[in-house]
Amino acid sequence: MCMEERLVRIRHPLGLHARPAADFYRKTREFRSRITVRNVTRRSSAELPVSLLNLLQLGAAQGHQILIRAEGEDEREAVAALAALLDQLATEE
Amino acid sequence: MVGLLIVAHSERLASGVKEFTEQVTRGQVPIVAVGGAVDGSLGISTDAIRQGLRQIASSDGVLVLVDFVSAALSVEAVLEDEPQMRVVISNAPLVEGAYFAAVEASVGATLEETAAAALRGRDLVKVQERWTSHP
Repeated sequence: MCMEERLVRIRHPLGLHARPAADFYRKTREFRSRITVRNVTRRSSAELPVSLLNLLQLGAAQGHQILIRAEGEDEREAVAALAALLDQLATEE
Repeated sequence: MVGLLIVAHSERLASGVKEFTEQVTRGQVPIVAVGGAVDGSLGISTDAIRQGLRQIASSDGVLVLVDFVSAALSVEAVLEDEPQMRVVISNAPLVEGAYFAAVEASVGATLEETAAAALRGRDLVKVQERWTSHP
């Protein structure tokens, strides 16, 4: 079975807070793949299916590394777009 | 698109929730805030609720987020005279509910889906022991 994943570092000073989490969630809705997220910086963090609630519950602060994983027909596009979005959001207020 | 009506006992509380919710959804969801009594003191005005509902009403429907019980009762009273409006009053906490609902509405959710998303705001854990105990 195929799968695409990428480890991205949260660079925004406030972490994955309300607005970037909302942007991230809305971006995931553009894809059909099954997408999961995991905060690998927090030892106890589990791999969670992407939802707005789960994104907020990652407790992703600045410097944390998030593993984005996608499985499905557009998995490569999904992971690339989500990683690019986090990069872009890092430069916003 | 589903719209949101924010009803609170303080005008500043209602408009603050609207401001926050609009920013996180980048202004993509229609949101109207109603708060305070007609003279500007703390309270609820059914006239203002009626105007707010009419302003935001659409065939996709309106989800109403309230701060306390009497706000919900006032909205119910107004809806008795407006039986044609498609409106759901949410049991969700105001800030979390408005946030979850607006994000869901912004991706084209139905009124039922938006209402379900708002209720997920009750599950949001803000302080987790495993976070604070992490080195």
